[in-house]
Amino acid sequence: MTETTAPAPGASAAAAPALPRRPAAGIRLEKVGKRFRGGVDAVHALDLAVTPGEFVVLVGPSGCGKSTVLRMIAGLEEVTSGRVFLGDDDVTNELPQRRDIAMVFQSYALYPRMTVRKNMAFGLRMRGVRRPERDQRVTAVARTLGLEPLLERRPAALSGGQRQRVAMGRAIVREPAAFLMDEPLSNLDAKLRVEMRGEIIRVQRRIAAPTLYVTHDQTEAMTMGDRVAILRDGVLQQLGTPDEVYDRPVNAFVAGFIGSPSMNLVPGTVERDGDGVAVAVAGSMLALGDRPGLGDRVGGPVTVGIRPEDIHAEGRGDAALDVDVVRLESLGSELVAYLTFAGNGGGAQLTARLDRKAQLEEGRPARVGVDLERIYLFDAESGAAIG
Amino acid sequence: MTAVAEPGGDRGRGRDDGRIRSRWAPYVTTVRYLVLFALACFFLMPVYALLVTALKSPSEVSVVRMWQWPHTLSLDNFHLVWPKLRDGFTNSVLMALPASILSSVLGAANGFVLAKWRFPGADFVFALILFGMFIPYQAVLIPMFQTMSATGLRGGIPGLVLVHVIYGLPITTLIFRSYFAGISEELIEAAKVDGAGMLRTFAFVALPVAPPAFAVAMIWQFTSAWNDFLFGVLLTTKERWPITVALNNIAGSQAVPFNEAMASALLACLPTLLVYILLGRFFMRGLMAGALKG
Repeated sequence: MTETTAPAPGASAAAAPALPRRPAAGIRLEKVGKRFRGGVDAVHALDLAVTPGEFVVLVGPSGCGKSTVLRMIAGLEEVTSGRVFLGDDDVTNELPQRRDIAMVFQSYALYPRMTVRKNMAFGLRMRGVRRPERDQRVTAVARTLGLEPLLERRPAALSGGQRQRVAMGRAIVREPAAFLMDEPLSNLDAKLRVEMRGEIIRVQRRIAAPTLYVTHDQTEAMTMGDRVAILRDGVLQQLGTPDEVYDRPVNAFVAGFIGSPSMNLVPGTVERDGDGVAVAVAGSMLALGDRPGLGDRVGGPVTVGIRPEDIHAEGRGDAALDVDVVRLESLGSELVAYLTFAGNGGGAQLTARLDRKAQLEEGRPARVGVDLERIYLFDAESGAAIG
Repeated sequence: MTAVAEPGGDRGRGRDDGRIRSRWAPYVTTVRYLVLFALACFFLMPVYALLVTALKSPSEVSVVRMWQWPHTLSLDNFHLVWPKLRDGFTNSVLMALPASILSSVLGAANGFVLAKWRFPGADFVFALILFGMFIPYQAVLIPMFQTMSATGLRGGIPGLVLVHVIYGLPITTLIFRSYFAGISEELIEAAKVDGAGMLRTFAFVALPVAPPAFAVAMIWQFTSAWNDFLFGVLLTTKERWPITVALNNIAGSQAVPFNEAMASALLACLPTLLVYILLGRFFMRGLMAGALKG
């Protein structure tokens, strides 16, 4: 995916002094599990490694355990099984204040009675860095983040975006072995969020510390991560580059979670089709040729996944589906169409992202095209990808 | 029965704050304030009697004329009683100030740990500490007297300070625990991740936002230590008696010289008033502003 870096206000690349670089370290989780008192399993045997300089986004629906993972790495939550490594050091049982980790909290958690300067210098002060060096490092980081004019202000006198920046600065100035970010952008408005997204990436590239970023927003995951880890109910579903998880989701959950609007998942049946196979979806046959893994599933049910962007107006694509148009939403650049299968769709809905000039009318039947090789198939029960 | 207050609104509306009010609102407000004023007067009657009696010349004071305004304002009564109160006043200051400061600081530490640096059994410990609030002074009087005698602390001000610090801990712990419970957990966690241990998190993060709790705890502690009579008379010798004992000696004789008693009472309550005025401004909100997303 793209790693677009929005130009950050008040911080041109030329003006930025060299930010500190650390010797390579990484975050490594080995079979880490968390069971809360009362027996709730939040995280199951999680294996995850963030290599030095890498930006990994941990994404999943709320309650999937992603924040718990972050808090266990920071030492704020006890690990019930497995081990946490920072570089080569096993920090599983280390106190948070002894781990060389910086964390950006969702609420920013700035110290209210300290100025921006003191907020940023606090971690250095706690680690015994002397005043002149503290000042110098705070000033350098403040400059790269455009915070210099705000250094003597208290957090109360800052806007949401500025507070977010201070929270970032407080983490950066420490030059930690690893960065943890817990939904740091969720309290910003949409425009600022896009802007800070770029800025976080830009800063992370420069300081090159391993970063684990938690979010529930798949757009953030796709645009920011070198790799994306998708978590569901405390179990890691897939770990891969944004392209990998988009193109080759390991199961229906990942397929539905990554991509916006999310992938259409409809029930279908595998049928024999000459030498090859096909899936029957609501009366339409989608010929899949010699797609592997389907031979012994003939006659059985599967879940068919079609991304909204792989559905086209009539005339494009290599197979056709007959549908009824329920609703159309024009986004200007494109047309989002909500469709049902004509006749016997069983209520299954399809979402399609069409060209803005597509000739569709609400309430009328239509015929849309599908790219057959872009069709995903999942086991109807387990949801695992087939083939 | 509602009407929207328009700009330049109709009769009886002094403000154009745009709120929707009943048309009876002005009358309701008037009646409400009349009732409140009457109640305030009723409760201020003793204060009035105290003030006018203290300001009358000694010859003018009598029970019959106690509600009358003094003919001439006189400060003679204060001159008369100050020598009898001076030592007690000094003793009380020396006792109440350290007692309130110490028990507030210790209460802050207790409250912080019980609210934000919890340990297994924290709630049980808190319950035990709270239990101390419900033990009446009289119940511990004899063992306390014996303990203080045995340790040689009886008779002086330090012993009295110690007693008040300990007796104040339950309430100050409660005040600070409630206050610190309102601090965002993430703030404490941010300090931990930044490398601060328990003591430095307390000192650099929790204490700076605690002035409102300190104001409450210190006003409470100062007032109760200053007003205490029982421990004062029991645990100190004559030279170290606090002002309450001196006050009692003036007011508690066979024939009560009302003018002297009132003037003494007025002098004796001034410090608590002063503490309230000085610390009251820390009752402000907003010390936490800006910590969170906002």
